[in-house]
Amino acid sequence: MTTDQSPIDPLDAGTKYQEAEHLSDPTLTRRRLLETAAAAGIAVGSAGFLASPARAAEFALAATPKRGGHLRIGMVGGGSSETLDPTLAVSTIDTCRTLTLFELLVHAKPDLSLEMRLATAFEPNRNATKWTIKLRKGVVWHNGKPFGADDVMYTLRRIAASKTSGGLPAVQPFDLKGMRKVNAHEFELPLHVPIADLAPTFVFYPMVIVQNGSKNFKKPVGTGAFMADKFKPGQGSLFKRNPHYWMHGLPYVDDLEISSIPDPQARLNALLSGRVDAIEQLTFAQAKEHQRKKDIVVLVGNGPQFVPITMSADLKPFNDVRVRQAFRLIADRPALIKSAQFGYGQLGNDLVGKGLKWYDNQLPQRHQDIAKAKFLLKQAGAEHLTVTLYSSTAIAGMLESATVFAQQARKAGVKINVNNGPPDTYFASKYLKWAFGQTNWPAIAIPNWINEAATTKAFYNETHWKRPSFDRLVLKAQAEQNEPRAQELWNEVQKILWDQGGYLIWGFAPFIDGVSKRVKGVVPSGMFALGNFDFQHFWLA
Amino acid sequence: MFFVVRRVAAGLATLFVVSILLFVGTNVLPGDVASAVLGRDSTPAGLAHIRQELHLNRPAPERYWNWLSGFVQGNLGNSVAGQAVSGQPTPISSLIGDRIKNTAVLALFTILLLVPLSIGFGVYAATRAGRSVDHAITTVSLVAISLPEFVTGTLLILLIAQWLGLLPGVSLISIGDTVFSDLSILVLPVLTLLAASLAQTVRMVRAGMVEVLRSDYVEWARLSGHRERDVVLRYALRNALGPTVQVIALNIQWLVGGIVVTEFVFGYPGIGQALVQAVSARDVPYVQSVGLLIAIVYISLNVIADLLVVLLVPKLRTAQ
Repeated sequence: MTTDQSPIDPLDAGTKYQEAEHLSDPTLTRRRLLETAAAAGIAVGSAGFLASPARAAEFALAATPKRGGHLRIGMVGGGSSETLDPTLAVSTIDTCRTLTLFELLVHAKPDLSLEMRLATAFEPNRNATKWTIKLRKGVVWHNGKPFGADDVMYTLRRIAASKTSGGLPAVQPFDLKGMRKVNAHEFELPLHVPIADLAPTFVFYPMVIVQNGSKNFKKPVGTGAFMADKFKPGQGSLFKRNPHYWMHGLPYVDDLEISSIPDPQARLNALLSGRVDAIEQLTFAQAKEHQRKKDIVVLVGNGPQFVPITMSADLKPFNDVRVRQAFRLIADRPALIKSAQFGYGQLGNDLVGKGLKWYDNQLPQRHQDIAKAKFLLKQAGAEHLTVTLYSSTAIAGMLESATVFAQQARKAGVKINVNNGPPDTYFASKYLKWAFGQTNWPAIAIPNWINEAATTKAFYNETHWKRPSFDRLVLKAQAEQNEPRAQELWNEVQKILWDQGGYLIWGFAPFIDGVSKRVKGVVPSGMFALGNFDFQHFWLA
Repeated sequence: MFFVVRRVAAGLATLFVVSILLFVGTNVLPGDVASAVLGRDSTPAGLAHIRQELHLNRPAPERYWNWLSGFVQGNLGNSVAGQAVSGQPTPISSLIGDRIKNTAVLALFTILLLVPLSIGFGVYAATRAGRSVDHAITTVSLVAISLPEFVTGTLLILLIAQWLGLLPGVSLISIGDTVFSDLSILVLPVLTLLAASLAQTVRMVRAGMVEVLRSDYVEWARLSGHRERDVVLRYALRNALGPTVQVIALNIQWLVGGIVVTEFVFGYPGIGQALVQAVSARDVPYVQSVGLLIAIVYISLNVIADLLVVLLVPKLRTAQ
């Protein structure tokens, strides 16, 4: 399966580490790089001279990276519940910090393709029920201990035992009791069900690898590019450059400071006054304004995260498939993107994971069709319907899209009452119980998403999608080792959700961040904010 | 003496009521720390696990008693959000030490400027009542009064930080640094807090002073040939100060609320910002303890101001 060579020197040819496989062929490297940038949908603030993605990519790598400096990042933060423990990480700032201190076995590149990090190869047995995972040699922990199979096995067991880890659903198919160490850098992972494409499971951020036996995460030990130094929850953290990082020569900067700045205006002020070098989450309005002013780089990373509307397939009125279909036809998707996301983002087709492996591009784009929607509602005996949509300002664009959708529904004679709940507890009260609500999903591999959201035993079965026959089809697709055949099966799975499912996925939301012009080496990413949190590639001009 | 005792006892009684209000208020908030910490990852098992770890299932009177009895003995309790994410007891006092210091510094600078400026401007305006200087001071203060802190703060950031580029538009303190590492970050927050409170105190001082300047004894002093400066500063001011002290005290108390907003606008790591974050995290003990601390400051200021007035105005002392 996927294999990768040993560490390479990224300073070489001023290129990026991701292109390592092609370093021998400089032309190919450059071309691939441009494709990467194009795929990631570069839309840079200084758009005047960076109009084409190709030129933007050239610009990003034009100069030779410089060592040294103090990189300062402003994030929304999570107050006193901020943590460096990956099993408890919830806020984006936690994800950002844990991905900086620790590393994943497999990492998604800005263009969403995968690269090997702490793993080097995933090899299945004949029917994909047992995998041999080979790990990178020569990696050392921040405390000097060598990294190996014991650490990964400990991490997986820790996630399974944690009760609170976001990675809990991901480890469910693993037979952890049967897990066996082969040698210091190799272990066997048997599965309860066959999975033909296992690597994407490890891309999910709660799956970062911690050191064998670690329990205290006040000043944790990782293998990442930066080492924990100081940390005050709700205020800030200071990480130091890891001089023994396995990607030789990286990171470029000496220190990494990550501060919590909850107020969006204060965050922008911090960037504009030079107090920090990059911030996450510009508001859509701020992004528009500063793209025009060109005083900072507005980083737009288009990716597969989304804020859908959910309809529960077993609750009235959505237990009639025609009502679900009608609601999907009511949505004027371009108008939703325009009003809820100021035009940022990509059109949704009620399918998850645009741009990711297995995504079905063949299905036609769904458009608004009020006449057909009315017809379906009439057939279902659901004319003049009144429903309550549970919404909140918990996620950017959530309440806005609910409100706009409610207006659009009037055209079809449907009255939607938008219930604007408190943002802090939106997911705490009626989530997973309501008939009609909203949610949000980060970038996650399509098979993993289907397992977590659309199977009978799914953790987040937001649309109450419980079909044994569907579950069997998912298992079959998941077990299929012949890739074209697997694609057909995944298409079949997606076709069912597209026809009958309860998700109204009207669009995908981009990451929009602000970056000072003195920060180089940032590539917009659809996976995580701030150029994938790949701070090891950032340097200061 | 009896007055002092009565006043302090009333203060303590008020604090007791505040503690009950705080406890009830934080407990009726929808959701709890478990759901806030877990967010969308809330599974029934995860929620139950955290709630049990943090003893959130105990009856309310028991939790109230544990918190209050601890507080009285100087134990602020543990941050449940901190404990939920670290698995270990996280004393609130260890989390807020620096923040209290930062807020105290901010408040102190504001008060140090507020007192002389409000008296100075107020007296000056009063002695020129009806003239253009007085009108200017009155108009400016009227505008400043009507703007809430978040508007004033944003305007100041726009004007001084962004357009003129003179001062930082955000008041972050780098981890490892203290507020004294760079005092320039205090200027805009102090100005923001001053704008609202100074305007009000100036108007009150002016009003009090105008009234006193019209009184018979001032007229008598003038007729006796005392210099106007002496009349204003030695005879009039002292009598006008009584109500002024209370107005200033009221405004200092009001600062306590204004600081919460101002800290948030400037990203200043003080107790107010922490309070906002703690409410979001449903860190109930944190909100309660910090809330009660703020109430103590508020009520103490009130008591002190009352006592000061009695000291300053002899009439009130003899009236007893």
